[in-house]
Amino acid sequence: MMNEQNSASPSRWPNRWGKLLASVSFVLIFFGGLVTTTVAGMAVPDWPRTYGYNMFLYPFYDWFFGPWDLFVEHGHRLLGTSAGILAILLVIATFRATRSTTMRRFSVALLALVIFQGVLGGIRVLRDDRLVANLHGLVGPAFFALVVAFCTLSSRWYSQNVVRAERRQADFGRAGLFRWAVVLLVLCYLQLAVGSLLRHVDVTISPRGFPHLVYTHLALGIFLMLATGLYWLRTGMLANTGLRWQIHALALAIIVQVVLGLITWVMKYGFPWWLDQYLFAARFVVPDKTMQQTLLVTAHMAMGSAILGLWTLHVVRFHCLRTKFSTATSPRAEAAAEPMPLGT
Amino acid sequence: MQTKIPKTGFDAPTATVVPCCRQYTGAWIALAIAILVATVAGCRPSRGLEFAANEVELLKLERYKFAPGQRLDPSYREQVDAVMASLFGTPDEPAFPFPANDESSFRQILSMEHVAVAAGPVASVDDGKTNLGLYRKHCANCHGLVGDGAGPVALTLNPYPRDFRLGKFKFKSTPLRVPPTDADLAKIIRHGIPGTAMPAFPGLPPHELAALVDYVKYLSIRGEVERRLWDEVTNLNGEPLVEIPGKLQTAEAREAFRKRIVSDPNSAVTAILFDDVLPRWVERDQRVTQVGEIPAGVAVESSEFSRFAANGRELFVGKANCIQCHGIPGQAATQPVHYDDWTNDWVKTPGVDVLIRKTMRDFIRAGALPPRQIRPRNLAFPVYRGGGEAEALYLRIKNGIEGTPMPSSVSLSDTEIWELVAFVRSLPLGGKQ
Repeated sequence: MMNEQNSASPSRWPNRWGKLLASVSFVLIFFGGLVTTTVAGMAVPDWPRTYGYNMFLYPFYDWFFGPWDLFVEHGHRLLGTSAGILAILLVIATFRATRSTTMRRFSVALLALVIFQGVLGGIRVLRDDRLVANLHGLVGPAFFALVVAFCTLSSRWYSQNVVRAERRQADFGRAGLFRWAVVLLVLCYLQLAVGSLLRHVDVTISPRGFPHLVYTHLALGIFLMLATGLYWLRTGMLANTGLRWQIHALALAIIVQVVLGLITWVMKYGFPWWLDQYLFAARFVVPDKTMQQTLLVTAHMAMGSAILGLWTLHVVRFHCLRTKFSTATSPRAEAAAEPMPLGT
Repeated sequence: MQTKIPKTGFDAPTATVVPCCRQYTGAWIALAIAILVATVAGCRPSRGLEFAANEVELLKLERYKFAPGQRLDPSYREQVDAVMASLFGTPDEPAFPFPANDESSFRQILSMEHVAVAAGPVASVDDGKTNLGLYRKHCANCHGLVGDGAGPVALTLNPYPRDFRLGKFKFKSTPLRVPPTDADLAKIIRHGIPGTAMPAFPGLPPHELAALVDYVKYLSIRGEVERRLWDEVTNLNGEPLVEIPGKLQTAEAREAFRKRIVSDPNSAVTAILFDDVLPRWVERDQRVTQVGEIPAGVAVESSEFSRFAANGRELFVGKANCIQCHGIPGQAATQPVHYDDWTNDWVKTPGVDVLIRKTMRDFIRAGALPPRQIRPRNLAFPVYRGGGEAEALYLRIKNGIEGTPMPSSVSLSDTEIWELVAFVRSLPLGGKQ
């Protein structure tokens, strides 16, 4: 019976558009990071037009071979518009593919969020406002994470997971691990928020605040690294490979992110003074706005979003498996929250 | 076993997403609050900013000149604020107190076209080909909007970013108490300072570099004038510094007041401007220390190098007494505790003790950065913050380093200085002579 139901072949288009939207969103986030790193947010003073042109009609040569700030800012706008168009196609595909109100609403919410994000970007330019720039920088990763969630819920893996859930039911009843994953997802986003404040620092604020942000970012980063490491160790109990690969990827990404974070600090502010007894630190000159600095600093920001996306993917999958398990084994959803003993 | 299976795989989320949202309502609310707090904390306008007054200088003068607990009359504060706003404008609309005479030599100090390019919020015009707000884009996060070296990130840096308001710059070709040349400032901006947070700007176009140089001079002169004004008003006993003509909220009103101030030959403000601060900036190009011909013995590959370095060593431990601070590289040395002039400027105020934090509390509240010891350069490394060329090392030894305990060498001959240069250059080679 179950196999028959799952053998039905629902449209793959929402998932395909979702994946494309997620990919474009990630590139868009990277470009947004470039805009912030190179302080190019005001490289185009008008919005939604670009130097008086319709955004799509701005001369390609002037954009592509023009000043770097113009290249990244206008490129960011074009990518943002592309994300908006893809979100529209996603809504159309979703409405054609399913009767699920939740998924339909989800797709519309994504479209609304990408429009909201575009308007935020416009207000940030027109008002040259740090508050809006910060908010703009925070909505981007949130949108990316939600698109990842949509992709997971519309994936072939999701439509087939019931069978696996029955086979490996012991793994999915672990409420403790799941709660841990949710907490780490939320902390990961908070870490992005602190990082966003560090990147959008305003010239008028007191120097007393910035060190607190730095220490918070450091402390959260160390906590996330250790907690993810512990989570990685404990996921040996999660036999399901559909969850484990994400944890491996997260552990690797966190290591890369820590290294990128250290590099980012050095590329922005140099080595700590107590290292100047070593020649490599004493002779290092901060290379401001060079391509090397720009790409490394932006990579740190983008990796943060990638980690958020991975946590989202993991948490949504974990939740789906737990819910499937609970609906397949017990009429009461609460029962699923109870941890299952090993080997059952 | 009763199961609840959706009709198709794709429709399945109906059963899972909704409980997920409900189950974690608290987490979603916490997340929304976190976003809101984070964004509100960063809320600052980018336009309409004002230069902050030098509260540290005022507090210092009050401690020096007034009875305990006595503060400056608020009317003097208004007068200084009005004069400063008229003479130098605002961060978005800078001005400069050039004298009325168009032929004045003071007009050579800086170009207001350059200052306008570097001032204001970050922006681009002319299809991105002309960038504005260069100072806020490249410098203000560390050096601060007013050039006080106390930008948002300053406390995390060691050494602290330069406070331009004292008019002192470390690495320059002019003697102590003479401002740096444009070339000196441009060199630091272009090449950065190794081992510090001062970055190199290799890709900065020449006109943007020139704009930043002029803006640094503008902030430095502004800061010097403000310090002199605070000093002036703390000497006044009730008589006004200037008569303020009503509100000065528009650029036109400030310009009219500025013209009135600079054309009054008897005013204390013009004396500060045209007899004290600005002449030093005009004369600096004539005060550049001439390096002269570099002796062959300074070059490491020269056959004379060993002799030069050996003589330099004698001077290093003897007559020049460099060993007192720098020690012998490779050997442990007891380094004396020193602070630079930017710290000494206020920590030597009566009642302040750098070892007792509470005595510094008022100054730190007023905007001073906590004192940090200055450390002599480790000469075992071929890394010199002001540049490693023979000329740069000569200038460091000859002129000293402004604002630091590194003195000028008035008692050394040119040959002796070159011998010291040779010895300093030999140290990273393991003392090869």
